[in-house]
Amino acid sequence: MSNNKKKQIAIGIDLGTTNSLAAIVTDRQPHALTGEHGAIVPSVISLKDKKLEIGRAAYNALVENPEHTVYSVKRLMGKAAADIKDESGRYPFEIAADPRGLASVKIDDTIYSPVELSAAILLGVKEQAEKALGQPVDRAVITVPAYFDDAQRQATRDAGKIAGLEVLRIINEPTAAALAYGLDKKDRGTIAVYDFGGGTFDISILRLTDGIFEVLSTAGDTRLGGDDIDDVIVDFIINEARANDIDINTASPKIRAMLKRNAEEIKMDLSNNERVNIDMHFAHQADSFSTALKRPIFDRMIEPILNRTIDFCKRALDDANLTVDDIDEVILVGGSTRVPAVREEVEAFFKREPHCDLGPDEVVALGASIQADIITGGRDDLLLLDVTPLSLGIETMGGVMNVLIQRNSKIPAVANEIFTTYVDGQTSVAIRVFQGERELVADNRSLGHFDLTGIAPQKAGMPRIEVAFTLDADGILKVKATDTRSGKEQDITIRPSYGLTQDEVKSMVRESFIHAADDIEKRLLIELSNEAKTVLAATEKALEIVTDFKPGEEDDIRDAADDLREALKGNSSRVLREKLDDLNDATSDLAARMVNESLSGLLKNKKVGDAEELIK
Amino acid sequence: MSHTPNDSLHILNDGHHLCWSCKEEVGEGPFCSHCVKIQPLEEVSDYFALFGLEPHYKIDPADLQKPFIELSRKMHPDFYGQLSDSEQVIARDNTAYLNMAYGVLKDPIKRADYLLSLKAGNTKSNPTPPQDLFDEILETGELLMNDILSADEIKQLNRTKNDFTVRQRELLDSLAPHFDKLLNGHNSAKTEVESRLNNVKYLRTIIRRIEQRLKQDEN
Repeated sequence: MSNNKKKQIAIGIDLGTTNSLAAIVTDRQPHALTGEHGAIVPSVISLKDKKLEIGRAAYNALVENPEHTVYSVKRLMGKAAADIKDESGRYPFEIAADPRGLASVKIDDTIYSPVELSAAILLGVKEQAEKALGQPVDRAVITVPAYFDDAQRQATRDAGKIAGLEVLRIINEPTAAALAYGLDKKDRGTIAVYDFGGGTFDISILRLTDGIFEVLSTAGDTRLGGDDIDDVIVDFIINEARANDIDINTASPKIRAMLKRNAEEIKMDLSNNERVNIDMHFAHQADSFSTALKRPIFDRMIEPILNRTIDFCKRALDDANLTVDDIDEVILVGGSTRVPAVREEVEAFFKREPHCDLGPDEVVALGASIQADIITGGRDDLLLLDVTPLSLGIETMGGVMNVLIQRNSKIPAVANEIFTTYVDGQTSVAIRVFQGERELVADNRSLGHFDLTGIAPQKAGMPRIEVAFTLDADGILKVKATDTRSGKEQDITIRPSYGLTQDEVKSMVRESFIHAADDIEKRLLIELSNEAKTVLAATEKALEIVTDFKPGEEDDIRDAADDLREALKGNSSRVLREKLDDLNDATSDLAARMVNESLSGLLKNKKVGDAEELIK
Repeated sequence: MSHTPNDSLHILNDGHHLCWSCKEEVGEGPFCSHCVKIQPLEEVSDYFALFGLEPHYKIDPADLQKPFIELSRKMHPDFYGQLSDSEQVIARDNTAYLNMAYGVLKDPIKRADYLLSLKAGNTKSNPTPPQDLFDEILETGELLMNDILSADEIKQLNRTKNDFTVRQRELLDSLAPHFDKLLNGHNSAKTEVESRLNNVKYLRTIIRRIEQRLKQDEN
């Protein structure tokens, strides 16, 4: 019997392009939540014959079953199918457009949205966390690349909801990493977080002062990562094959999956070896060939990718009004920073050796769990002050972008702008919202639009309509419009250009295919039932032998035990947990007295070994 | 949460409002003195007052940063995650307002614009080229029109960019005494501030265009 009431818990989740994982803070220290294969859950889903596999099991199916196995879903989040046309050919699975033109995945004639597929990954992570903790988890902080736009953030939050999570906050990956690094450091300074992951690149510049993590600027590319390095190696293999008169059939999903797997392995081997031998065998082709890739050649091949990351570093420094010499520390995050050339490039640019002692795979999840701890009231000595990576504005006459919130503005943020009509008697205006840095809206990203209706007909230029942008702490935008003459607020729902409507999300929360795999409730119920039965048996025994009850104590215990017996008949793990905790509370004092009594009795006979047995 | 009291924070609120939650008088500060719930930031007299500063053009970044951090520690939504929806919304809106005020005061051009409108009412923003740089600006305009730039021309653009940046800073620094006059009631200083600010804005635009052009050439 224990008397520690389980508090409502919240975890941090790093939802990565290649790998995902969760962490939690206990006793003020963050640690990753591990399953039987460690903490990492590969961000892979397989859907053969509609049977959902997530993580390791799906990853293992990748080469055998490429058309039914989906990876790198994060690259599709919040995108139109047209946006990713140039890269859709490299996946073994089929990229399709849903009826609204959003990038989706097609498996056996069924279209799956990246939001739902991400929800499946989150579900896998959540279940691993629940197993590790032995209790349900329904609240989380989820990380995203700092350079994610509004649609991508919203998609991530929706995925969390569909996976049955209350998303406490969406935070930026580099900021989370900084939090994990700065946790125990009381020092001040300016740090650069170079975050090169499986699919995305971010650079963030932060200022640390007494537990305040103030992001000064951020830059990056949400489609630049280890995947691109793999592609370079795949191209190398294809060219080498061609030199051996072998034409690799890249149209075959199986071969594409195999090339991808090979490229990943070669890349990792090259981190530890100067030279890697490559032996390619094609089952259906008689041909096979051997070649080798040397580190210097590989380094040269990926140089353009590294140069792009350095360009972003320069821009972030510029935006923060700083130079390389102002940076006190550099932190490396993300699996791609294991590539030696990446480290060398970063060190050469920042003129100092970067830190990577926390492990580039876990650090983001650890930081997310610290943020979850802050938001759930665990500590108030740390605070993240983050920024929005992209400018937000609306279209004005001539298709010009009218910026309301500048990039690198602190979030949450507000901005207002007064609008009027162009035509006499006009009763509605179309408001189109965009995100990006270009002067013309056509070159920026459309976030959505709405029509403001019900304006009292007046002469052109007379109505005064205030449009207010509110960017919340997740970096997600809300828009409100008020007719300032009437004071009437317009109820506006933006129709998202690249996302799901809230109704669609709601229906997925109930009906998504991912819930077929959601047997956690059943499993928890079984585990808790077993625990409850054990506790009930122990309680009954105690009630038989104990005589020195405190006033009312016996009745309280009997009531709590009856309630628990009642809960055992139902099928809610939540109720069961509650009643079990209640009974444990009711018996905690008694249990302590019993242990003391047996201990003192036994100690008289100096049988300490037995006493230990007894209190176990 | 433990917070050290700070005189600068008391002006957030004149103390005669009723708390949205307990309907008692809120007292001074951003929290109700009765039920300790966060209160919406009242429209303070100006952004400077929010940070406990006198309205001045010249401000020490540290004097702005310190109260900004203190106020963030009090009002940031991260510390309200466990509280009611209304409190979370107030925390978000207060922090957004705080961030906006901080953003304006931190940036010298925005700060000058804000202070001018605060003390001299409506002003017209009308970027104009500084007279002494007229020739250089004309030349730069022509260079920017060129489709292809020679190495020498790129060098020249870089040099010009640096010249303009220095001039912009000089102009911004020179605003201080004129602002002082304006704040002391000399309304005549308004035109002087205005014209310098318009020069600064012109330079800002042209510097941005040079930067864009140079970047375009890098790629």
